[in-house]
Amino acid sequence: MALIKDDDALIAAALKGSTYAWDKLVRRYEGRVYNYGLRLTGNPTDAMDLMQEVFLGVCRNLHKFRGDSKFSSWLFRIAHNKAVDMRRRRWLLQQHGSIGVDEIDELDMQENRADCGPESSLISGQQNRRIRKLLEGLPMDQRLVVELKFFQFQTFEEIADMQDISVNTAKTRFYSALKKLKAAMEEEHVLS
Amino acid sequence: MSCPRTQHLLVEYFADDLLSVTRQEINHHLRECNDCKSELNAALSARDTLAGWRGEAVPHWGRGVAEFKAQHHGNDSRGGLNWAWQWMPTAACAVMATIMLLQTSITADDSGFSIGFGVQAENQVTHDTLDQRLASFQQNQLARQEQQLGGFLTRVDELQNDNNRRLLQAVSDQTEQATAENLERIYTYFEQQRQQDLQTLQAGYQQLYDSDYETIRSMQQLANYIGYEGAQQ
Repeated sequence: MALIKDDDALIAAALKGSTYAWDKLVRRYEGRVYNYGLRLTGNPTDAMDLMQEVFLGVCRNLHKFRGDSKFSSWLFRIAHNKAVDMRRRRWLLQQHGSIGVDEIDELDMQENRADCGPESSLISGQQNRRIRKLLEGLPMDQRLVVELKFFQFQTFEEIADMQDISVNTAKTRFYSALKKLKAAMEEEHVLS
Repeated sequence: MSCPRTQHLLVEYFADDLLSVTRQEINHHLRECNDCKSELNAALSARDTLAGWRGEAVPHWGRGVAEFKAQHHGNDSRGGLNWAWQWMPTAACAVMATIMLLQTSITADDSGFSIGFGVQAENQVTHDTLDQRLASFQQNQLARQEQQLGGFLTRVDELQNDNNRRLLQAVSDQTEQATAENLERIYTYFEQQRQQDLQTLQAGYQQLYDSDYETIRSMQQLANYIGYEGAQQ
């Protein structure tokens, strides 16, 4: 509750033009949004682009936030829309052959290698890469449902509302995602 | 997988608003159905794997501050009081440094240089002649100031008297003029009234005279008529 009140105070100050409040608000949520982007897009470059687009959207629409819902819900609704848009743009680029999936993966691997530091971060980096690979095996609509269910802890009703689909569709996508995840993990097990 | 309830069971298992009755039914079914149990274990394993995600640090970026400033016309860049308080120590240091510099005195004498803070550096040499000159200068100054003050007071008195005189003269002139004008107006008014009364009186007499003349003419006509009638008979 205190965090919500803090959010409200920061938003009010930011709306009055306080750069300090804006900076604090962004610092509070940038980690969650960035990691959300990493899981959805599968690479740091796109995650960074997504995060910047999300906060740009927040900046432009902050005056429209009425406080009816939690700020985090509002923020992740914007993030969701931006992620869908980004995915669509990426798909269009791939269709026109101006960028290849292998090319992106190679760039990501280079970035990941450059990010590696101490041993612990190396291990967590490997774990995150494994999760990203599992999620990449899911279609975008299923990946979004898994993200919202397992990482954002939303109900099926909230997921359906955010994605503008029925609750049954959300549940079906979730079940399909679980089956795919199970298959991917079994494949991992066989290969290892 | 052969159990027809697996999909429903798995989805409901992860629903947040699951009723306790439904939860019991699911648990009961899981005890009996190995297919569903296996599927659920796989789903839970996937969830646990995903839960192992470690939050990665955000690379350095501008946090959209430039865009924010552009959107909000670059108001207070550090947030009002916070921004002001941040600069308070610096401002205080600057003020103290200025005061110290102003209070510092450097004196050079035969023995070298001396620097003093807060008070003037003690002068090593005292001169009686200097004191005498200062006393004399002070007396002269006082006498001159007294003289100047006397002169100023006299001039102020003169100016004050002159002003009072002029003021009284102006008031008197104005009063006399006003009185004469008023008497002349009253006289003119009375004269106009008298002329009007005379005209009214004259008109009245003329009317009375005309009326009497008409009466006499009527009487004469009546007498003539009576005379004429008597002659006819």
